[in-house]
Amino acid sequence: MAGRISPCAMRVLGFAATSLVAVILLAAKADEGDAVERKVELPASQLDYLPESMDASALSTTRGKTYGYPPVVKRKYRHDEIFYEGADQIWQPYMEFENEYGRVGVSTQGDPVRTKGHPFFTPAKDGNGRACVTCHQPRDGMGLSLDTIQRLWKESNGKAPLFDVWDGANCPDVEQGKPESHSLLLERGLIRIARPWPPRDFAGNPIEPEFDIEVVQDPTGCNRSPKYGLNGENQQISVYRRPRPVANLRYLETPRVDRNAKTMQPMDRDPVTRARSSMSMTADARVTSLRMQNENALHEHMQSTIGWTQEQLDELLEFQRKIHVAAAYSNGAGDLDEPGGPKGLGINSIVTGTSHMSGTDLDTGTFFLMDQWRPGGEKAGKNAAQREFRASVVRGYDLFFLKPFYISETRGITDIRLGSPFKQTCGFCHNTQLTGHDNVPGWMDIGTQNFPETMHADKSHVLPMFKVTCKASARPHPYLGRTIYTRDPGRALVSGKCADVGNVVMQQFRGIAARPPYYINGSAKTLRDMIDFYDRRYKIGYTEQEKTDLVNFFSVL
Amino acid sequence: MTFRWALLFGVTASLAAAMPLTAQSDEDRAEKQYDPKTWVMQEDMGEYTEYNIPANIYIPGDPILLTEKNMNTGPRVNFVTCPIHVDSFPTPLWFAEYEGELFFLRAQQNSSGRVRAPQLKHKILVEGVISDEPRIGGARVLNPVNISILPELSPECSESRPYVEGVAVKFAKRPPGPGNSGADRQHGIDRLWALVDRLDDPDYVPNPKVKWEKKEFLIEFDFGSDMVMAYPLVGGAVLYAKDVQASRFEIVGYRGSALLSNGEIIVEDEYLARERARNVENIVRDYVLPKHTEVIVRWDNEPAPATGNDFLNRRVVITVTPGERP
Repeated sequence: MAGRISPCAMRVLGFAATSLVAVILLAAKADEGDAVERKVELPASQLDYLPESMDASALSTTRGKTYGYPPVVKRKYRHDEIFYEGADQIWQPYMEFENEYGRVGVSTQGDPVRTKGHPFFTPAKDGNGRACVTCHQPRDGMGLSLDTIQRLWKESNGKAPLFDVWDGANCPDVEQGKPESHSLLLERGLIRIARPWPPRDFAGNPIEPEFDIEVVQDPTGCNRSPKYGLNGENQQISVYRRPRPVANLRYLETPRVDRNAKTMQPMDRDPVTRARSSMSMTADARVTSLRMQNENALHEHMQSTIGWTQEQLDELLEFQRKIHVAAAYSNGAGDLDEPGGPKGLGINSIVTGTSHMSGTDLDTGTFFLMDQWRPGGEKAGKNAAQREFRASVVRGYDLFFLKPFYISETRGITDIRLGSPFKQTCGFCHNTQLTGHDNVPGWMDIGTQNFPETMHADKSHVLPMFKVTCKASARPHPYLGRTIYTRDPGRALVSGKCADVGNVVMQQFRGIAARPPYYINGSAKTLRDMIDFYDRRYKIGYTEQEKTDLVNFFSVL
Repeated sequence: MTFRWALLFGVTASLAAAMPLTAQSDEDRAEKQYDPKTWVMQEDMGEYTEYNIPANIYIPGDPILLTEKNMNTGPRVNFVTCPIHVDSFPTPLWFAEYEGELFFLRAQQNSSGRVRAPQLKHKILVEGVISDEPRIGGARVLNPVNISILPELSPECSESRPYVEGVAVKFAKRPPGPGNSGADRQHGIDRLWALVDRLDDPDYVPNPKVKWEKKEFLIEFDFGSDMVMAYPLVGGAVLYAKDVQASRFEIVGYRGSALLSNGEIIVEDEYLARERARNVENIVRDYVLPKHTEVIVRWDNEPAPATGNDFLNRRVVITVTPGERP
């Protein structure tokens, strides 16, 4: 019988049947009240369109999504405190810290935390005196700003645990406390990352790389060091990278889909839990879980040979997963959580928001819509200066979200199937709603590391330079071929693949104003420098006003 | 709260309206997409978004992939050349010249574009049917078509032409800029996870309606590439193996040659047969097969002889052998 029904009739029947079911459901549930209604299994895509956020009892995870905490009550502006390893300080459930553009909010909710004895703040017994907080400071939006580094230098005369020569200096064989020994940390905010060569898999077995690598320039002396160099005792490659913020992790920790759209291969699985990884936790996706990230940090950065106890690990992960960070107050725009203001701004947007939502459509938006701040909008501003600033932020968001430009020769985007050049907007790649990262995952080579594009970012010679020669049997890099000059091979130091040279995982935007400098190599000192790089690299041709608007937009995220 | 219910009702109703589309299996959709008899040429998107457009709707600028079924629908041409990029509105275009003739390849879409987009700095292998549909920008349209990006750099491929009035397609599935429907996009992700849940499930209950027979799945590749663009098809093979409690799951990788219209033959790199097989194996092993299923992986390094229909030889063949019925 079904075979005799036309597609049109099927459509009408389908509509009628489903509508009937919906009506019956409505009637059945109408008198059960709010508590019951929260249990209704809405398709996740609709959760963002709900008029108010879910309450705490609704906090749950479905296929990686988390549906938000209750909003924080913003307390009085706090102060400019640095948190020190092993000190006895109080971590308030909500804090704000000043920066050039306003204040960054840091929320963990619940009770205050006494830092003494807490594993996030306590150095390992056999380590170098560092704790997690050494490089993940709330005043820097849980990253590490140059301002904090320089303050710690002055306070400690270069003796603070941050400046441990292992990775807080240009190379472990220098003398601690001399500014020239720590120039990359002091001037660029860079931590040394030592990677084994050849790369190792999760079981520690060597991976046969698709390329040969040699050191061409070695301003730090580390890559030619008899002990720490590429051909030294330890056979390591030293690269220098910015610490990434430990914040908003529920948006980053799990994958959006089961496959890596950049390789069309499965996402790596965590070797312990076998759970699929987001491959977005570090710049080179070498860790597959927050647990692994904490273990690696303990061994690599805190130089401890003893692992975390299960109790410590549980406490660490619970604490880190509760940390939410976003700009909370803007010197130009005022309170970013103002009732009735833009839904995508302020600390409560990230605290209450749903993770893993796409923000790349007109009806969603990376940071929802900001119509309230447009001239004539409901929250256009209380005075002329505020109105102008808010209007500038909206113009910046429009440039970010709506203005296409040609993206060319960008490994991880133009080579996967989209074409080079490919005309799109910033928001196409920075597509995850509320964070602006790319979780499919966000490996890309925008040119901050590889030559010749890196000349747009970094004309200095303070970082090492490697020459990569791809083997004849390997697939070459899609835009740089078989001979590549790079300051940091990025993902290729993990995968051993020629085409991965220079690929790094993009970062989220929340709280970005609190943690300069930017890019993996700290080459952009300010938000303006960051925008200037894009403008040069992709020949966008932003006007001065547009650049100002973009800076203002990033400053309120 | 009334608003919430109204919203639920509205979305439910709109999903219902789309039921005949979503009721098709992915396999049905794929079949329709490649079968020229089912194509409906449409010059705008009408009621559809980029995410719910039926497989049989063909919009100029988003050509159909060349397949065994549609490869003889018109005169064929195979050639290697540099692509030509043309700025245009509503979306940029790609062309190629061969023997003095300008061919239209495709418009910029998004990742849902069926045919691979060219890249400057690389030559492309074009294998297509010269279509009798209206010219675009004065160029003859290739449809169906395959485009492969040759892996080695060709710096001379750098031609990018500025916008010229009239050189344009009327409509793009996804022009530059944001998409139109976050809800549709999310619906696609939710559907994917629903499938992955079944593929991951060690206690999966086989679908009793599935016919138990030895079945082949053909995973095709671009020339010179080991990227598994047909990832969903590998998932389909795994699901079939679960449904028929497969005793054997065989993956065989091949590499090919390509006979060009000028008589020249190009051959793929030797490592590709192996890498294609391994990449497919990685996907298979990411899911959960029945415990007793034997997975066999091998590859044939000998390139298949060039015939002119060589896109069929750049492949991995998965053969699923059913187990014994309980």
